[in-house]
Amino acid sequence: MPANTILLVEDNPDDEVLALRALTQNKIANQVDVARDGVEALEYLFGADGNPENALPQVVLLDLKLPRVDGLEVLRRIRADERTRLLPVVVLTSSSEEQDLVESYSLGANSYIIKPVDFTQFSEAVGRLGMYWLVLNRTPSRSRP
Amino acid sequence: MNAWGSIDDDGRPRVRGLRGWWRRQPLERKLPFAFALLLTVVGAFYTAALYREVARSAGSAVEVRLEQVGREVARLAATANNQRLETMRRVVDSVGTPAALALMSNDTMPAVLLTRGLEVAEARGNPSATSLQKLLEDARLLREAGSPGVTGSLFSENGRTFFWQLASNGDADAPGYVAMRRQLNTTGDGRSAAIQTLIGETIVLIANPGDYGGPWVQLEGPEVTPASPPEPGSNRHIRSGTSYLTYTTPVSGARWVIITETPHSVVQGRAAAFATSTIPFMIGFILLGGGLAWVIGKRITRPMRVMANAALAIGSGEYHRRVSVREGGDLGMMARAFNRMAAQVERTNTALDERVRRRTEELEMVNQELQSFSYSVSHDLRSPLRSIDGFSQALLEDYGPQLDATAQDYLKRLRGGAQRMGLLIDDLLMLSRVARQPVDRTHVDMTALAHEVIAELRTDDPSRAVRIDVQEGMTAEADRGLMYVVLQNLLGNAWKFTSHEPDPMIEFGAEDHDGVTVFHVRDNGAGFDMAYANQLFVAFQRLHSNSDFKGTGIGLTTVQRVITRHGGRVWADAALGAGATFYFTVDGGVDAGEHDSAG
Repeated sequence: MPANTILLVEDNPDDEVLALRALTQNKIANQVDVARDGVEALEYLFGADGNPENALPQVVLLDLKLPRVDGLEVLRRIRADERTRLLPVVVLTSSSEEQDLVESYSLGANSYIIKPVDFTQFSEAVGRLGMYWLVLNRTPSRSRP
Repeated sequence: MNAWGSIDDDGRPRVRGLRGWWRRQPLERKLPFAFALLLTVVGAFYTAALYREVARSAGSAVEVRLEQVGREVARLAATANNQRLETMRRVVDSVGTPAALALMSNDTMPAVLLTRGLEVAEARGNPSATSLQKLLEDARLLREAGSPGVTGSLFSENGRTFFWQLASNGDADAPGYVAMRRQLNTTGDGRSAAIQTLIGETIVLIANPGDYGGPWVQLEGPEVTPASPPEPGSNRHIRSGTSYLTYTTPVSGARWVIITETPHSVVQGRAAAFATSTIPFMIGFILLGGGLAWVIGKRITRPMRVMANAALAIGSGEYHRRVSVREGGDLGMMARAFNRMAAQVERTNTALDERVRRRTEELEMVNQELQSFSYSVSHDLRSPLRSIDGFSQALLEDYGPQLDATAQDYLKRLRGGAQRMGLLIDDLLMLSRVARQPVDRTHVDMTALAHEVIAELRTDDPSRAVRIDVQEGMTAEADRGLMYVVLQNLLGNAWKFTSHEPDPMIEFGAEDHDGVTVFHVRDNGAGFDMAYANQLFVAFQRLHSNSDFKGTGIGLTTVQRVITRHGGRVWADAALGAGATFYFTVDGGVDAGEHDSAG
């Protein structure tokens, strides 16, 4: 039974607050778990000893520039693992570099969203992605063993 | 052959016709040809000279022989005549003239007794009147000469040739002369083999001397048609349409001459035969000369060809290529000079390669740094802005009612500043990306690209009604993505600076100037003062205030960067308040593209 949680992987506390605020503004009431770097994100998904404490989130909002293990590496591990192979991952980043975009998609990102400077636009974008990935999108149901 | 062909084809104007053909031939073909031609001319002159010389000497040889034969025949004829005359005179001396006449004549052989006054005293054998006429002429000559006997001139009667022989008795009292008509017997019977051998192929004629006339009789043959009156010595005449070399000898004691003749054609034939015999020799000579020239030509052109091929190889990048030096002299010198040059080229090139490699490395390093720099800018510079903007908004939303109008205005200005800086960062990133990105030239439909940009402009600002003319069928060999950036900026500018116009108009077209396509984007907007045109493409330089037209001042810098990287040019023409036209080209050639692709 998948929990309807959102995993937000974000190292910048400001961005974290703003992302949470945008989610709230868009009336997305799902539980949001925050991982502050790549290692935390991987531990959240796979557990420190290989046994995760939480159920898989419904969607991962992944920043690319992260301390320790960066976002692209996290994405690679998610796609490499049988359990998380089909997990929706939305890259949410400041980078407008073509290279990041291409690499993210080639690693199997489901979406690539550039965080705008304008908070109004940011809020709109978060609202849309929440609506899509949490409400409209259907993923193959799977439960943790 | 290819090597020559390609060298020959290198932009040299082709000359038509024989001269052009000759110029295009390789030396190893020209040389033997020229040699053979030269030898042919020399040979032809030589043969002609030889022919003339042979003809001349053959002619004089024939003349000598004609004279010999003539004199010999004349001597023989004189001897024969004199023997008979001697017999006549002996008879006349012993019996007297009248008795001698009776003794020597018969009915078939006319004989005449003449008085000293040259009157016919008695005639036997019925001589004709014409023959008597001849006799009197001969007798007159005999009397004038005071000679005891003479053989008279030739004359024809009934198809036969006759002559008189006259003898005087030497006795002044007795009546004058006894004359006997004799037939000239020239047919071969009784003629000795010695004479046959003597005359050989020479034609021998017996005739009267000078312009006396009378028949010409061929020895061993009939009478022939006389030619011009025979003059003593070597001569030429044309008889019965044939040209002869002749020699005329008088016969002593007779009113005769011996004419010996040989057809001119015999002499020419001999010379021609001799000249002809030299022709195979000449041909051999020419072939030998041509062959020799071919071998020499080969020897000259082989090293030239080797060098040409080596030069082509070096030209196409095989810098280690050298030619082997076997010859000494000029060719060897040339080959050594060539090798030295090739070595120099190789050294220079290696040095150049090394320098390019180092520069490329440096450039790659700088590029790498620039890339991480813009990555940081992209990532890290925007985050704080997002915070400023986001929390200002949060303040406005959550604490708006507690703030007065001034505080709210400040917060709005805070957000405006943050957002403008965001735009600046975006534009700067675009500029740096345009500078780094490789130029990938393809065939770009500029018309379609412009329509895409225009559709985007209309979608972003549907409230504006701008008339936009885009010329059909414009294309360019350029990087499609970068051209999109150019049109986005130029059409975007035109769109922006016509926003205060009541009837805004934009035109995008292209014209051909000396084979270069010049594109232009024209608008009837705010324009600018051309005095500031030099600041147009400088980053962050703006010719309008931000309150009139918003902008970062980076757009045209980006355009210029793209155009420069395409090897093109961009310039503008405008007047304040009268619109602006931006021109650009991308036909800078392949070089610019190649250099750029390194980055």
